[in-house]
Amino acid sequence: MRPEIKEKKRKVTTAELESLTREKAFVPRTGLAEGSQGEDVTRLHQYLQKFGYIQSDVLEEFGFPKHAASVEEPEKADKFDEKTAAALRYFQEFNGLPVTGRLDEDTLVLMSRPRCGFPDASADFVLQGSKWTKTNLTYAYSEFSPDLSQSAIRSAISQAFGFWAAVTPLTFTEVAMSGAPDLVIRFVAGNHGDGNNFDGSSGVLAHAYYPPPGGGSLAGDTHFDEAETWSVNLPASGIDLATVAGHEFGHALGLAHSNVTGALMYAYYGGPHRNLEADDISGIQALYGAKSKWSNWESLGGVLTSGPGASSWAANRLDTFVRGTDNAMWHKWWNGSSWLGWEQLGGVLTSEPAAVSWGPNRIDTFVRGTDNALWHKWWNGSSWLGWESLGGVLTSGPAASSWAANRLDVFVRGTNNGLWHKWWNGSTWSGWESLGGVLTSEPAAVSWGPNRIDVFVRGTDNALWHKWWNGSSWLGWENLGGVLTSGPAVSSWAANRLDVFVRGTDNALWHKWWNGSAWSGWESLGGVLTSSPEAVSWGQNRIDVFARGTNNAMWHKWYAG
Amino acid sequence: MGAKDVSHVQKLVLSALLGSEPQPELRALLGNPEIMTAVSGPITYLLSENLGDSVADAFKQTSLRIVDHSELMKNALETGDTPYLYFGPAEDHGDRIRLSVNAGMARSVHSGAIMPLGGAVLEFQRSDGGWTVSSPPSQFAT
Repeated sequence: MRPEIKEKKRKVTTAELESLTREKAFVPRTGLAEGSQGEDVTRLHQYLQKFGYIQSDVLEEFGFPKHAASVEEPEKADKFDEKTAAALRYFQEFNGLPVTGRLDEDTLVLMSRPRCGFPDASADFVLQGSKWTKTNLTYAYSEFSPDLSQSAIRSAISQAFGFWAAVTPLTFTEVAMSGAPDLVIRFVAGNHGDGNNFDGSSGVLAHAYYPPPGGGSLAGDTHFDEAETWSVNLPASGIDLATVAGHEFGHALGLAHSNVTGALMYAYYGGPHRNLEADDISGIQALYGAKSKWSNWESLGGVLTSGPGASSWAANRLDTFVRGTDNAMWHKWWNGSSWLGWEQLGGVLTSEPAAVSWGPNRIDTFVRGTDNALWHKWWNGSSWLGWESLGGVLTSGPAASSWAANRLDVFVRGTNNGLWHKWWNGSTWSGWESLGGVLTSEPAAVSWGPNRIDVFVRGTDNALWHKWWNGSSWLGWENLGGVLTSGPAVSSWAANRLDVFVRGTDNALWHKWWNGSAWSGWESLGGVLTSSPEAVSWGQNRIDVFARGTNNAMWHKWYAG
Repeated sequence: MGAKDVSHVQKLVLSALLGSEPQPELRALLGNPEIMTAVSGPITYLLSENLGDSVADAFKQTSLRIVDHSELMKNALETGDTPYLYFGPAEDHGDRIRLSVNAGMARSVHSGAIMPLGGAVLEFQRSDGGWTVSSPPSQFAT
């Protein structure tokens, strides 16, 4: 990275730019080569200039860099000379064509195609071609700078790694030099043993070696010129370490210099710049993908003898329910800032609990009792009420949903292995309604809007099956595939949005979603589950999933999109 | 021995970059964006610093133009940003030579300031009376 002084540029109108980049059919003849002359050559020059292969003052002054690979304007507009051939070679190389330097048929076919009017060689990130094949990278300090305390250096370096970690799955962990780090950080001056000497104060501030294999034996290593005065303060009293480190780590991760003025990966240092720009993010995500919006698994403790149930009655509020070793129902909740509980709610459960909320500070829970009937307990905003028996003979745990205030829909598997439905309409409980099917698991249910219910079960083929109420009738069953080793869980964070979770044959959590128009494939979310999962959403783009782990504790994973 | 050998390996590098059949290990240089920036134009500018005596003669009939700092800066001021190559000081260890080949940009602004952008460190080993690349280049950027 190099220091740069900013200079003013002439303002060029968008009309001028458009006139240069406007789409035009390109129909010269093939066979043009060095020595050719005529109108076809003029048009070839216009095309190459329009797309950045021949230098153009208009493009440059509009802010596009005069790309290093573009060539000077030929002497005569209508004569194919060595500059035309060079520009043509670069066009062919850029577009993966045989590099002939002549207007051959392949080249003409490509040039004749409709295309974006933006110059090829202008604004974009550049990849060196090497990348790390793992995402959990380690680093170590070989030498520190005397300009700053070690803790200040660590803080700036950590911040710089954070730029990249925030937008990719990459993680960066400091280890000792003896721990075979992927990246070695050095503050060194002059000849420092890598055959790539520093040049004293100013000039080159730092250099970094590309990832393997491009970086060779020094892959990932990042060296800062100790002849510079490094700073961590703002305004900077020297060269801002976090900025330069962020830029160098971009190289160490596989990014070359960007052509975009203002990108962190632009070649020239213009003062503190402690963030990535869109071009930097596009570049690094082209190499490593975007950061998952799913959290890791978090243990919430407890000793569970069932899968969990969960509900939410407000944004950032979660209530979970499980069966404990005493077969009673236990409650643990997130109040927006911390987890509270466990609270014992009594009862003798023969299934996992189900929970749903139809309004603020309201929770309804359902379980199967020792008599195989459905039992109900609820929180009215000030105290727990119940247990109330709702009858029936259940051969699975229940599922519950609500599509309006004071509305409850409960689903269970009956003795015929079919799906059965019972609902509270605000004043009374209905009887049991048979919805058919042959279930091999407990059901899951959710509502994404008024008078809408979606129910999911595992079928006899171990696949996921779906049945839904559209406000006037039940539709389905729809087979959604997969091989389930548990009952499903479902949540919804918006109208016409469904997220379904199951345990797969590998005991990991798997996810499939409906985005309003189509079902996704199956996404693995890892973990080792020993129960069916449970899912709930307390807001847009938010999902909380719970399951029992191999240690019988409750585990939690969430999506914050 | 010495300067002659350094010239020899510099010629190997330049031949690889300017289109002759390179040693397979030197082909990696062709994937280095910084270096390719400097050799993609009709003229490849090479700074004369650290350059072996016989290199200029060997590339007289090619697109290589050997220039000093002031010529490079003048060119940038007259014609626009000018990418260039230069060699770092070679480390001659007898049967082993290490040298860096670097790419930079002479800017049309800032009074033609020249700015290194990146390159590669190469190690050559004497073998059978010639020189071969002994390990993959270490490519870097500044």
